Amino acid sequence: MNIKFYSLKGAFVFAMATTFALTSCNRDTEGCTDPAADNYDADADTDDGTCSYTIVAPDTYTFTDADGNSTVSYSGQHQRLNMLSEMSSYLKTANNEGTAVDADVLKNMYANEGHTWDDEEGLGMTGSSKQLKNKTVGGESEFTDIFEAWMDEVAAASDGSGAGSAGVAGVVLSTTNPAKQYLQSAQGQEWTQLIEKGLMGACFYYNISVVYLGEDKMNGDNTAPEEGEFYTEMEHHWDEGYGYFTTAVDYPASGTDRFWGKYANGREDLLQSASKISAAFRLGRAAISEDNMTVRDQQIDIIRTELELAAAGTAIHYLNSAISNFADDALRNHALSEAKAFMWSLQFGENTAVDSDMVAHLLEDMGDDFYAVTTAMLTEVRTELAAATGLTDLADQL
Amino acid sequence: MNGDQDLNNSSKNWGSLMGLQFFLFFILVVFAGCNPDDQEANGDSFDREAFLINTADNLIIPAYQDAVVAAEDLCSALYDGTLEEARAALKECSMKWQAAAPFDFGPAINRGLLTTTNTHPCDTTEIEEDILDGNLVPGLPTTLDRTGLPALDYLLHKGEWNADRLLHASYLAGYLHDELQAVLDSWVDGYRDDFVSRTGTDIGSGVGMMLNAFNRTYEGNVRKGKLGLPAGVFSFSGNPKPHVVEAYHAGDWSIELLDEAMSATERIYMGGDGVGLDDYLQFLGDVSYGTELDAEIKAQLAAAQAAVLTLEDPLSDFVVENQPAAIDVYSELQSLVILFKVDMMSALGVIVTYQDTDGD
Repeated sequence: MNIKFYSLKGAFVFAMATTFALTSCNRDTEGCTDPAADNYDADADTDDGTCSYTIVAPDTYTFTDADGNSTVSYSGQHQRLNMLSEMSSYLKTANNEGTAVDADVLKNMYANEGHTWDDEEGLGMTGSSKQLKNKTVGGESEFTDIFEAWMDEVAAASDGSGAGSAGVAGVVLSTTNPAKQYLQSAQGQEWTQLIEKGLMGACFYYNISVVYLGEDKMNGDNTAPEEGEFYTEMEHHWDEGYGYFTTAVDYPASGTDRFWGKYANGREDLLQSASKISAAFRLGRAAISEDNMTVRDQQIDIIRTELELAAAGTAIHYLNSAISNFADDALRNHALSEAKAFMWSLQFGENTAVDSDMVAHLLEDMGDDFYAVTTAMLTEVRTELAAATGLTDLADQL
Repeated sequence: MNGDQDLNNSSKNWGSLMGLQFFLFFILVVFAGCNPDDQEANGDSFDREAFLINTADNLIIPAYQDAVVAAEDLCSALYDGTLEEARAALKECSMKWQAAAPFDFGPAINRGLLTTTNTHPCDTTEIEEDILDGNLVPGLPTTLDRTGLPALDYLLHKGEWNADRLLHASYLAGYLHDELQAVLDSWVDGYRDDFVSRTGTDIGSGVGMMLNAFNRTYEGNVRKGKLGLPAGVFSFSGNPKPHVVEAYHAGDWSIELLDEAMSATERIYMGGDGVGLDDYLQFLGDVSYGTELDAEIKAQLAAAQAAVLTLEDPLSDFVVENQPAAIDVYSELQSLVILFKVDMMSALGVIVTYQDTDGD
């Protein structure tokens, strides 16, 4: 069993602080003033932020109460992830010439209105109250309109589509990989990517970083289980955040096939995104169950930071892919559509390095016409994004 | 971050207790920071720094220098030489490019050098329009087949040579030269040191970047671009595509360019006169299949080069009249892909990163 004790780092900081304390004797007695901490100092009268705690994060996202009942639930998130999976699959049928997708079908999927889902996992998606639309940045029309406009555009372009090229919307065939072909706009924008990755940002990422790890939800009751449930309100909010990241309890052993679980895992080698995020979710949840808000809040910071890094790192990864496949219209436009959507998504996090002004600036530098970019423009965007997120040293490796 | 610099900086504060603490702290950091590039950690103790230094100083930088000089000569020939002299200079420049093309990473790929320099076939209709309207914006995805060596090949060998064509050819030659010069400058002004300092074998290491570019360009630009595509290996119908050969409009040196590209491939493998991939595989010895693999690669390099010499220019005619023979030669080039990309990369423990692994 892989038990990680949280106290190691705290102990090191504590040792450093002790060293500093020796050099300055005239201050109040500083130390850890939390009686619940491992290093509680009864003599200390000023807390110096060094409290450390031994909280054990389980190997998987599995939590039970004293009677052995599971306290974990994120069924609503599971439905929404499956809705986006089905929507993506439907959108991708338009990657064949002459295969149309219907705007009304897409919008009904988006709002879960009168749509019959495949629902292969039997989650009861058809007719359920869960939907992606009202969870897209809180259902604000400023953002939901963007997605519905993309749905109108992809439907129009797919209807009677032929071959695409610069200035002509249609299906663009890769010149280097015969297995790859994508429906793209006259400017090379691939709606499927904008919609799927855009919703990963405006819906999933927003709900994790801003909503469920936000102050309101994290102020939820943590003293007793909710009526008729085994979990407290706060535990449940935390789980809902996790469910937007992945629905796999054993992530990253599984759950790496879609959405944030997939792209965080794609950045595992260089940024350790998958292991850091999953460890923070597990440790934070364990902290809540032990009612330790200090450790919980530290994990909130880690999750927010690492999710932003995973998104920025993935955008850089796709910029590199576009540079590598620059002469292949289909692959370049595909990669740039991914990069654009991940960059656009960066505005939907809390306490982040990249704000909406920076996002607008990056997207302006990249331009809207993917047939009119140069490698110099793309490397410039990469340089700016990497500098803003501290990824400069890894920019050409991602 | 360089640990030595930290030590030097901190030693300025040597007299203070705080300085000593930081000094000890940095010692700790330096020790902890050694692991990622530790030679033993990568499974072998081969001196990759020496390999990278040789690659940078004796292969990469000289290749760009030679190409820059050849591009200068082309510009000069267009300025005050005869058409024949300009053609000879273009051929020389095309030959020199073969040695630089495999290093499509770092400064080269960030500048899109490979795509602006040698995307063939060129778009002759668009080039004729560019001559007349002068509206060409080089470096865009839509203009890659209107610049570089293939466009110059067309201008210097087709149509009636006149002042307009000369002007446009001079512009394209100048652009080609400036792009090569910019990449060379990046290498000399810092990238070389960065490259040789990345002594691991991971994705961003010198070996990782260089070998991925080497394999990708050999597979895509040499094997496929120079022979496989024109021979019809990649066409759905199986029919040859004579017009896509390199230097199609000159007509009589497509095979010389392929031969030169194979020589460049061999030179990179051998490390010129210095530490090369052959030494690296030999160093790994029998345990890692290194010794035997080195022998196999050398034998196949010789076989492929011999096979290329059985082709005859114009290659555009040859692939039509002797398609089976051309495909036989292609098979010899293909055998090297297996040895380089599968066997060599796994023996060296370097991941092939240029394959698209994105499922969507």
